[in-house]
Amino acid sequence: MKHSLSFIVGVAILTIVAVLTIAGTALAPRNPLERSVVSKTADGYQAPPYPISTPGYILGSDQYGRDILSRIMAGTQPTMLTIIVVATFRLIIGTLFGLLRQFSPASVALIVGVFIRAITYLPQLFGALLVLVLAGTSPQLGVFIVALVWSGWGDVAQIISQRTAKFRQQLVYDAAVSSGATQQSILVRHVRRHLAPLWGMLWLREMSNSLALLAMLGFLGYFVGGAQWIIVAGDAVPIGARTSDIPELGQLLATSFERVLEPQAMFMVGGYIALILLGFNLLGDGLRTRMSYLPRATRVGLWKQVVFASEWWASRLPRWQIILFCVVISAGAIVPFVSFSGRSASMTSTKTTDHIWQLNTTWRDARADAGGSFRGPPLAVPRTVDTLPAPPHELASVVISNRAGDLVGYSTTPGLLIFEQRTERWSEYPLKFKPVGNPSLTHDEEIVVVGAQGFIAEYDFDGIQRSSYTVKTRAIATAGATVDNDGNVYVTVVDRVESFDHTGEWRWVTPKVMLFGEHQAQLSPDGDLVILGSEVFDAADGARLPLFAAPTSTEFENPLIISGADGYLYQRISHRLRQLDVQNFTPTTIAELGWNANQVTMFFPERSGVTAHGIGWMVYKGFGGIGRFVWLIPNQEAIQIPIDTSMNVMFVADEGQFFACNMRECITHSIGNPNPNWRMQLPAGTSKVIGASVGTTQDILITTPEHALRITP
Amino acid sequence: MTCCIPIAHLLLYFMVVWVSNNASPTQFTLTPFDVAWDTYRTTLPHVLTNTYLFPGTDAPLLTQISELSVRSLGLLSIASMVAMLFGIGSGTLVSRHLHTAFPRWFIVMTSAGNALQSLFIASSGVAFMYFIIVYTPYQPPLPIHGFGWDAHLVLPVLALCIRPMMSIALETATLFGAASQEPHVTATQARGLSKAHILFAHLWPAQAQTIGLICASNIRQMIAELMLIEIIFGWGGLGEYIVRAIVPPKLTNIAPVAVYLDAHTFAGLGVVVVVLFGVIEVLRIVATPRHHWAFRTDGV
Repeated sequence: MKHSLSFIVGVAILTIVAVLTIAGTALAPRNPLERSVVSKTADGYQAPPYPISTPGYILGSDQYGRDILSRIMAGTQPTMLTIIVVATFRLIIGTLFGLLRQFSPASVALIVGVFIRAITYLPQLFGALLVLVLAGTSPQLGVFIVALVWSGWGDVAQIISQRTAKFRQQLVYDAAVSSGATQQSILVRHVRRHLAPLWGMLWLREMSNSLALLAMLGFLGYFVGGAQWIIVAGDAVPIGARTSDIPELGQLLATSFERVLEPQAMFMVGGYIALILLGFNLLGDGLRTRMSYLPRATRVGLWKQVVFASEWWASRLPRWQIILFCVVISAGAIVPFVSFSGRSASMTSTKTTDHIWQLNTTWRDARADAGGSFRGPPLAVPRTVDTLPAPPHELASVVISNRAGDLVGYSTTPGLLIFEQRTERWSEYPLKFKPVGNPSLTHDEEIVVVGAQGFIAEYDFDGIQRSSYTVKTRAIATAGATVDNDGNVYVTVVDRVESFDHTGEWRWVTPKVMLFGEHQAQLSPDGDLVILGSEVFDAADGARLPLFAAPTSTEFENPLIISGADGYLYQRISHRLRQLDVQNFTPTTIAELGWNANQVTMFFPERSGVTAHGIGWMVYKGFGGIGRFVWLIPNQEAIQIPIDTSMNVMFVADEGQFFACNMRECITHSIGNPNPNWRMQLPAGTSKVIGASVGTTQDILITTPEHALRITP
Repeated sequence: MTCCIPIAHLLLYFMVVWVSNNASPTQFTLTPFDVAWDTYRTTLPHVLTNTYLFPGTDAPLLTQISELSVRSLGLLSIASMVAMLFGIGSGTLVSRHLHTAFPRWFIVMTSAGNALQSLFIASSGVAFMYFIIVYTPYQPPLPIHGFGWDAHLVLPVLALCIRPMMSIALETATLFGAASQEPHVTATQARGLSKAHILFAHLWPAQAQTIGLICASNIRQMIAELMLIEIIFGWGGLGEYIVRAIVPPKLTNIAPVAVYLDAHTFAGLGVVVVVLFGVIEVLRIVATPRHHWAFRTDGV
């Protein structure tokens, strides 16, 4: 009994693993690649990694907000298939070389023996690394299989050779030779049968070794598929953290321990790998024990051993233990279904995901309007491009234009740089504080400058300060000011908005919201609402509006509110845009735009909006050099336009065109054209594009640190 | 000893790559091959003449390598000694009744121990100690990282030796169990000799060579795991520098993603190592006449 227990437990563990291998991806409650940066609970907000037993995250999440349970379930299949293939090839190659060592001419046997020993001497990790480094940072699955097979077949060959050598010392071998049997018939009739029970155990052993090796390689940074880069910081040139993409167990373990005080991911993944290894070990031990129980006549083939052991076990165990065993096995398959019954019906097109990915980027740009709709001028070609004279110091913000065509921006000194159109000269006026964001203009063409310490000042285009005031919350300002048609100023202070009237009189401050990065306050098309991230406030008194239903216990909602150029407010959830009817502040969805994005990209859109004609658009920043601009046309298939990930979309024109720049060039794309229909090279030596704005004459102003360029239709 | 030559060369190469990485980490304009080869070519004469100074310590590189080697080999030798002593000891203990069946605790212990990877044990140990530091008013009983021939050794040795220990124990017990069914053991039992006498006077000498091979095989794996352990515990041995030389960066500028390592040279040297092993083996066999007779029947 004591030995069969190993067999039972080993089989039970590996059965569950087999179920997950076959159906783990389908059973996973979430998309294993889906990231979230914040979740909302009844008690407030929390950032990843989410702890164990967080609603919706039974085993918690990693630091990128990816569900560990889903990743483990989905990662079982590629891992197990990989190690099955590796173990099989190791067995085949090892057996061939082991037999070649014993059944070949002496000179060949000598060379083969030396080769086997040379491979065996080298630690498997070194051997695998030898192959993997050749593939660089992105070794694919085939490379991994080659690396793992190459480094491990030597052990199998050695064992097979030793076992065959022992067989050749037995009388049965001498008898076969004496009776005139050929080498081939000895191999087929005798050696094969002699080695058959060994193959099963060696196969299990090699699977176990391969899994351990895969985990070690993952720890060293060598992932199947090469991993993904997640942007963690940076401006024009993003800085990325390398982390796992394909949820494979080795890399899961490797990337799960990046925060020492949040080791739950490591415990879960490491424990699961240890459980699989334990299953292999117990099954191997059980088989070994079982073979010693079996009559000699049945010692042929692994399958017969397993069948015989199962029959023996079934005939001797009490019935309740059999029932218990069946319950355990069934639970392995049923529990996931039960646990995840509340999940969304699909993880692709119909899923209304509970999280919104907000890219924590510091890319600055000028909004075409106070609503931040990215609305731009019609992008007809050709155009004239004028490079304005170089400013005395480098520009630090986007330049904006008044009605006369004069420009204003910040310099790095810091100072206020004003370009007079008439004289075509820059004038610089020093600032006593460091400004944040971009300058804004009031209806009277006063320049509103926001300092990081919460100091707000208004200047005219002669550089004379007209008024100044400070925020009352004593918090730092994190974005430039937004000004409405009445001259009211809205300033973001970390996670709140403060408002002042046109005389500088303080009006109100909003409650705190959950924010990541710099968010400039936006206005609804009619100017009655103030938008900050996912929250909406009354522009009259700053009160938070109950625009959205409270989240349920199993649901997170952090929708992003955007202002469409068509005059509507939109709620962006995942890859969908919901047009909101905010009459009486009742959140009624009028229409919805979306596309089946999860089959194409693993990222949430970096930016999105709606044109004046009601056409939605989303910008995706993938990795590997390919991003996407997606047009969402009502009742039609989405149109995808691949763009370079270094491109930042500046404007979207109502006619179905967008304007994007990177540090080398600016391009425009039309809705029906997969290729750029206009391209402009930026001056040599451009280090980055700070952003762009639209002048009052519908000209486009591109700002780089070194230059300002004006593109006129 | 001849095997040490290619190993030393490979380790030397790792050190040179590491030095080049730290000395000029921004040479993105050149290909990794150009950078590594150029550094290798210009640095090697200084290294061989022991005039190349190790960054940070200003000690000659070879002297520094010697010191780091002592650290690594010290940790490895202590861990392997613990693994062998306790592994063989527990394997012998469960075989004292000369049965093929093992106690259940032994099966559970060895199966679980074999399933625990060193990096998992190490990471768990570090996390546990940090937990004590952060969430309790007490100091951790053991140092989490750093180098020292005292308490700093405990966690790394534990992480490194548990799996090999369990493996050696299981293999030893299996060997003794199988050997106890041999006719000569039955004969000695029939003669009335004690089990302890049979175990130590008859079984041990017969199985010592095989047990030695098992230990050697496990130490081979420990060498690979040593690199990971040194990284996790900040041990400061050779393994840590090797890993730094070969591991792709985790945080980098996305636009010019580049791996410092010269992959071709590394792979080429790896092949050289394997070939050298092979040549050494051929020479060994050719120089030993008895191998001509024995190699066909005594296995590989």
